Amino acid sequence: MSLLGRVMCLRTTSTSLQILNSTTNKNAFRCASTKDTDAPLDPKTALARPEELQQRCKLSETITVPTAVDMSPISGVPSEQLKQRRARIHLPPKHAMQSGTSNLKNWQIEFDNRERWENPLMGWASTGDPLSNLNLHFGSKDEAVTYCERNGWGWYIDAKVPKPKKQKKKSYGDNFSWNKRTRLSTK
Amino acid sequence: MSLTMRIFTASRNGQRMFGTNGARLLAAKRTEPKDIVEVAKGYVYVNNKELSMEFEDITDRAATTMFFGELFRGFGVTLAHIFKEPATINYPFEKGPLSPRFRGEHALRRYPSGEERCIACKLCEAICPAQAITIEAEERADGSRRTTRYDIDMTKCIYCGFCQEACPVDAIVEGPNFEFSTETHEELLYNKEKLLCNGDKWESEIASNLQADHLYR
Amino acid sequence: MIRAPLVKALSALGSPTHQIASRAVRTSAIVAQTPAKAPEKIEVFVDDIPVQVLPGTTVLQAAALVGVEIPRFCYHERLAVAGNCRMCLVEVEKSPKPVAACAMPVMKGWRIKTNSDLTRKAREGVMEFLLMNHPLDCPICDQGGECDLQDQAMAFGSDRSRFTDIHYTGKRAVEDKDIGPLVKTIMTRCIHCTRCVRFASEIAGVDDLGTTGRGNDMQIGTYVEKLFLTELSGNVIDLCPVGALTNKPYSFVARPWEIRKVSSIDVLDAVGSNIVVSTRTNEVLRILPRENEDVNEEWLADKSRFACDGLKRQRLIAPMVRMPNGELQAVEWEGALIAVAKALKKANGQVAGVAGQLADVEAMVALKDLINRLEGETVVTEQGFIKGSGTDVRANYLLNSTIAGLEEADAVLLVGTNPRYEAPLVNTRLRKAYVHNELQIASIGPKVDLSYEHDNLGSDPALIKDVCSGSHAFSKVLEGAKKPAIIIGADLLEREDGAAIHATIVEYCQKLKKPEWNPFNVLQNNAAQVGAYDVGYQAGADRAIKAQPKVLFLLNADAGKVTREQLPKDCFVVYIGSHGDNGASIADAVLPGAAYTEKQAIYVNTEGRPQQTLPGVSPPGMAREDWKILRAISEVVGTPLPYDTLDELRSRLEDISPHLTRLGELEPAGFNETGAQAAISKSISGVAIDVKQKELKDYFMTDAISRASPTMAKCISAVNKQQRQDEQSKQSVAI
Repeated sequence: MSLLGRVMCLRTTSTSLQILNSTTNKNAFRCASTKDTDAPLDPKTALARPEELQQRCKLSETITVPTAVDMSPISGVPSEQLKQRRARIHLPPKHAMQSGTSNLKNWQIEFDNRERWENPLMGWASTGDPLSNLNLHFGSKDEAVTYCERNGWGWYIDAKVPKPKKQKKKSYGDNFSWNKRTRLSTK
Repeated sequence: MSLTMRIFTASRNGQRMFGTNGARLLAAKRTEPKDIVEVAKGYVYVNNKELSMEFEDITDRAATTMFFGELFRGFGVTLAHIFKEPATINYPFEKGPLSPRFRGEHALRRYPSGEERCIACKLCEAICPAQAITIEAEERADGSRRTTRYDIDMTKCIYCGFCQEACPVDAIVEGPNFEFSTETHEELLYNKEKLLCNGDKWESEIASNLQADHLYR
Repeated sequence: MIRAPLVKALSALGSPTHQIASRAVRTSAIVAQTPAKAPEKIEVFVDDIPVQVLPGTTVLQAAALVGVEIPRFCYHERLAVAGNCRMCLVEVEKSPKPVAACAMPVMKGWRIKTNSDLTRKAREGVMEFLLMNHPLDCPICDQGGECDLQDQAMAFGSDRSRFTDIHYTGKRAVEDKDIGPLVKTIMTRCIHCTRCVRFASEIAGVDDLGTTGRGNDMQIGTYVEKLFLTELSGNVIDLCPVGALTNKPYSFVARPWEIRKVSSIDVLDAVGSNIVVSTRTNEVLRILPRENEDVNEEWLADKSRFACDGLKRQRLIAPMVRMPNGELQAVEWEGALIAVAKALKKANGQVAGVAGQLADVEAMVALKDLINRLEGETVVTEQGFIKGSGTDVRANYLLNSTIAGLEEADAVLLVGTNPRYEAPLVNTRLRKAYVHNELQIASIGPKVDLSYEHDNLGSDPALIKDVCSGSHAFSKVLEGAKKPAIIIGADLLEREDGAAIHATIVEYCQKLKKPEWNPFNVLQNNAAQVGAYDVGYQAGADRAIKAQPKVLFLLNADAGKVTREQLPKDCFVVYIGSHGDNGASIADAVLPGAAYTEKQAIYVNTEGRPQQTLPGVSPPGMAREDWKILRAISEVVGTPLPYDTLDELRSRLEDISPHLTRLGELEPAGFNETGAQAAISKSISGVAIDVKQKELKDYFMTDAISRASPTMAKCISAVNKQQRQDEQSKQSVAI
């Protein structure tokens, strides 16, 4: 990728110089840019210095990060918050009071509960746990696992394999069927 | 010469900020050829302009320095202000005008009957960006919804006024009082009693401010 | 309508004949309905996405299959279709009017548009009508923030109001009803979805709620002033899509956005309902059910839901040691542990342990390990079981048909149990099977109201033999059933002749069993029981008393089965538990433990499913997790237990019994082994079969937590008041 990128950068610079020298006509400039598919010629590219272009190329590349990265030595998190903490990776349960379900799709991580105490000053609750307010959502449990591992926390997945829900037969007529016990209130 | 310079400046990223004025300055009143690079109009040259080195201008500058021209102009300004009204006020005894929307010390208001307005809906607690408000609520003996505790940490508060915006019953307001400095931190942790007391003390001002502003909220 | 005369004609017949006749009619109807093969699927389009559905699927269900959620108020998955809120109106191509998605079955090739202009306009119109008669009191409403009406008004309602009655002349106002100490009613907020009415009559089986009046005067209520007293009343709070029915003990306490939610397990009965504990500032504020199709569906019994205020009262917050003058005095942990260790050293291996109702598996394992290390052997549960070695085989003490499995049963015999109060959520399954699966139920025991019709065969224990020998009429029903089940109450097996009853029924169940179906069930009523048997505890506190120990550990044992008089004079009693109840009052050393909302612990429910609680708050004062206390004692005595962390303890659990750490999964017990007991043949005595919890008032206080709960006390007084009123009204009618 980097080699290809460098080649592209060189080509871009050379083309831009060429155009600068040869033509001053705006229309021609536009034509050139539409023709040349490799280098989209906008003024920013055309006028950039080579090193600048290189930098820009580097930024536009996708950054591949090695899979197993342990950030814990450099993240500055105190070791007692890393070694003793364990994240529970789970899907939030449906709220019993509401019927909506669209907020249940993301995986969440939650840490073990730490002590809270009553602050003597005003009686407010205090905690020494910086992770108790961490509220992160993940698209999949693997993402959550990767995140925990990168940060050096222990984790476990707390989720039941969802069984395929049996679809119940719902019928308005059941309320009035003469030979079934489903006819309750109007018997 | 000008063409090469133009190409040079245009290719340099840092100096592409030339507006038409700046370009004209550099181009030294030539007839303008079509720009290679289209530079958007309306840019202003903000750097220091270079001093003119014409003989006339040099002597002018030297004369201003030698005869203390700026000094005397300054004295003139000072003299003129003696005859003007002072811009400052004698603060503790005089106070400047306050807008009805001024956001000062918090107060909890009451209804004219003496019943506290706050219904413990906790919207102010929820909206508070500094999380300065703490509320605990309970059912009162008569079944109404009231707070048992309403604390504001005035040292956390950023006086944004969101709490009074959120309040559905105009109970929590930021009154016109801005002089509530204390000697200790603890004194600035207001509880419900203090806030209600503030409300009683400032009710007429708060009410007139709300009245003055009610059309706009 | 044509069929009405037939029903009438049937009812005109004598009652027994009528029953049989109606049953015959029902059965024939079912046979007629059962299709020979699976019906062919039909294709419909939801927002142009094709989906294959079974015929009879409603529009709403079809939309759910492609992930489109249609707004609804009255429709609920577990209740009958009512179709009265009209919020689920959707456009169907070529249909002149929008259709109610919850009640309309789909037809082949329908194109359903869930987000068309017509649909949106219909929703907006319905919402406008609903809001016209709904008060604007969201700021003082407890449902605020978790209200379906709020959510859907934001999503589907109009952005402005056309309501011009600024003098509030026409807005509807309804008087509030008093339906008990658990549910608060603000009837003006009601939108008449009738979810509560349907819940009461379909799931709870009490026809107390209903509607009166019509149009603008329609009201939900009990018609006469009456308390809505059922063991499942709290669920109407969850069902109510607005704030008309709210949680009374929790009223005005907190907002949903300031609450921390912890997924946990209920331990106040043996069902192991999944719950969400809502906490704030280190306090448990309320408990809500969590959906688990295999255990509690999405319901929760009242004791589990409302007894959480018992977690704040009567708590042991500091270790205590009994002074020479006979009073318990609070001491530091060090002093208490040393006192216990001294007694243990003196005991010379004469140590016993009794685990009570609320003990978790971890603590029980730690206690057993500790006692074994001290060369003691007696570790028992407070509740008894059959005499002998009945707990060696797992299938002997489990609800083998599983809770979800009971839904499919078609003939059930209850022996010495009242599932309605011992395990309300097992009872809802039985009722569900009764309503939807034509389940036939008979009971041996006292006459109780089970919320569904059942034949009470009587309370004579000889009936068990009759049924099991096949001579009783109900034996025919059981033998003819596809999935028969016999459920024995755990209390019954505590009797002297428990082993004989057990053996008789086991033998009969061998005959009844089907492939993949085990008809033998024991309904436990303690959360700790199955876990205790699984880790090798023996049953019955009398065994501990018989051992005459020098040191007796009471682990959460509060049922009062061990008394001071039964123990030797010099016996040193150590109580480990959360509440100051029966156990703590006889103890010489009280070590404060954590309640179920304060520890991560495994409990095994009556069907043998291990599940874990998670801590929502920290234990009060100096209280600690139970297994940590036992670990500390072992350290002081000088025989440290080989685990320092919960993970290490869990791996010890895995050694004992690997299924214990497979949380949430059911390990089926091999049924063929149950027969081992049958060899012991004792005669069943003639003492009438009885159950402990006969009425609703017996239900509310059964353990240390619910005994400490003021809400439960209020419930009992409300039930008593209602009973007095009923008696008075009966008398006045008689006069």
